[in-house]
Amino acid sequence: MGKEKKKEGFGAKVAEFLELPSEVVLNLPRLILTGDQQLLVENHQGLQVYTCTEISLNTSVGALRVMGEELNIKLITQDQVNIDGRIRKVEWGEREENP
Amino acid sequence: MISQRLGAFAQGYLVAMVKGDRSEELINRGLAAGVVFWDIQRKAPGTILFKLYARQYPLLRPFFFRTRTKGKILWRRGWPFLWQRVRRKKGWLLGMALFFLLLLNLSSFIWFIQLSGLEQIDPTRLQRELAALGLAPGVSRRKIEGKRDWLIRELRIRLPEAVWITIGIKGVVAQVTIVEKTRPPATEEKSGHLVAGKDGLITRILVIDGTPLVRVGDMVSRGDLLILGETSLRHLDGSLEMKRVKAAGEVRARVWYELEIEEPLTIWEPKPTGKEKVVYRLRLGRRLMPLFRRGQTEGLVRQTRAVKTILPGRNGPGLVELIKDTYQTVEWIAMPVPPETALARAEQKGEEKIGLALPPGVQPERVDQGWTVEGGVLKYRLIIETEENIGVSD
Repeated sequence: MGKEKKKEGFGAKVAEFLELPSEVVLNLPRLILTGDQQLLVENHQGLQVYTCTEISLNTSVGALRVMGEELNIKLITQDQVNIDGRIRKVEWGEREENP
Repeated sequence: MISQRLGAFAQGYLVAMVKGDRSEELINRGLAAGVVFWDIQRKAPGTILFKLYARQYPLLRPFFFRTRTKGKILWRRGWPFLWQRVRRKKGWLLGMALFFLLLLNLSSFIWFIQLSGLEQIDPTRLQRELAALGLAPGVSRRKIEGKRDWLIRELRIRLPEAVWITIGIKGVVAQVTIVEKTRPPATEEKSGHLVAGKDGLITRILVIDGTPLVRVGDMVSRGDLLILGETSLRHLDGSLEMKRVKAAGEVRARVWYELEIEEPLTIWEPKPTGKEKVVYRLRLGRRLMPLFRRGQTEGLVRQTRAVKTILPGRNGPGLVELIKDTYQTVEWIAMPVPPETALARAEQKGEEKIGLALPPGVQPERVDQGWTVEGGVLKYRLIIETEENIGVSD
């Protein structure tokens, strides 16, 4: 765990120093929220929960919970998820420990 | 997104339904295997509807068992499935092909004729003329397109009231647009010639209607025929059609005007002899009252009047005026006028006369002048050259 955090910290510093996109260097998810209607999540790690009011996604930094009304997944591929509907809340859950 | 949808239509896609508590897991496993899902909808708890490429559906099959879900294909969509269905219905395909062939064939004919711009010309007459020339509903478009210029030309001969005609073909509609001539106000005469109103040397001819009978450089006298009130129309078959018209146009010519002004070299002027009579009068409104007088006159007299207003009225002459009339006895004596003075007077009169002699709007282009002295009179002669329209209706 400690080793992992140290590695991430070093990677972040390198990315900052070389002005590289951190989501590429650190394998972080990238979120693009358009108003309250559309959310594009790149670099996700799978779908956890999908209902009309909640969509939960696994990411490298923990669970991403999207809450709202009439939520729909317009497109889902290995790399990205396109969610639309009336988005009310986006929050990060606890990070899942890798076994 | 649109490109993805178009790609899906071209490749063929499925609308599938998954039932089970672990449907999210099925999707995750599918994603890991490279399956792309779109339009995912949760219809009911444990029931998900989604779309995926038809070729990727077999990749999901092993995961149904592992995630204890049940998958069902609801619809097959896209071009490959559509084509498959169409191919099976041979009669329908043949019908469609025949329909399109028929549509293509029928669209190569003109079915409607649209007329526009008609004000005086009777639409029925125009339709009749068009039909006589071969443009009627049911005629082939290609045939009309080939002879469109000929049609316009021939129609212009048949419809002299039209100044501009165009025929456009849009689909199965032939649009005939006509601009009619704006005629000047009708005159009493229906036909007539244009004759010379003055003598002149022709410099330019512009014929609007009729046949010109003169050429540039011709010398014409007043009354000569310039434009004949007849015109000929040549048909494409070579035949000539004569028609009586009202000759119209402009015939410009050099015109010369001659003016002669006589100015005497001796003038008679009154010369006072010294005898005079002065009369003072007072005018009160309309009444004139003599006040006093002095002196005597005899023979020819010259009168001069001086008026002094004492009380001015509102309008016209004053209310109260003092009038002084002076009567002088004169004798007429002959005074010689130097030729230079007489010439200057004649030139001044000549300037005034030029303005009166020339028609409105015509400016002199050249003025020649000369003078002679004959019998105590200075004769001043002006020759003015102009260029003007000499054509007048007979």
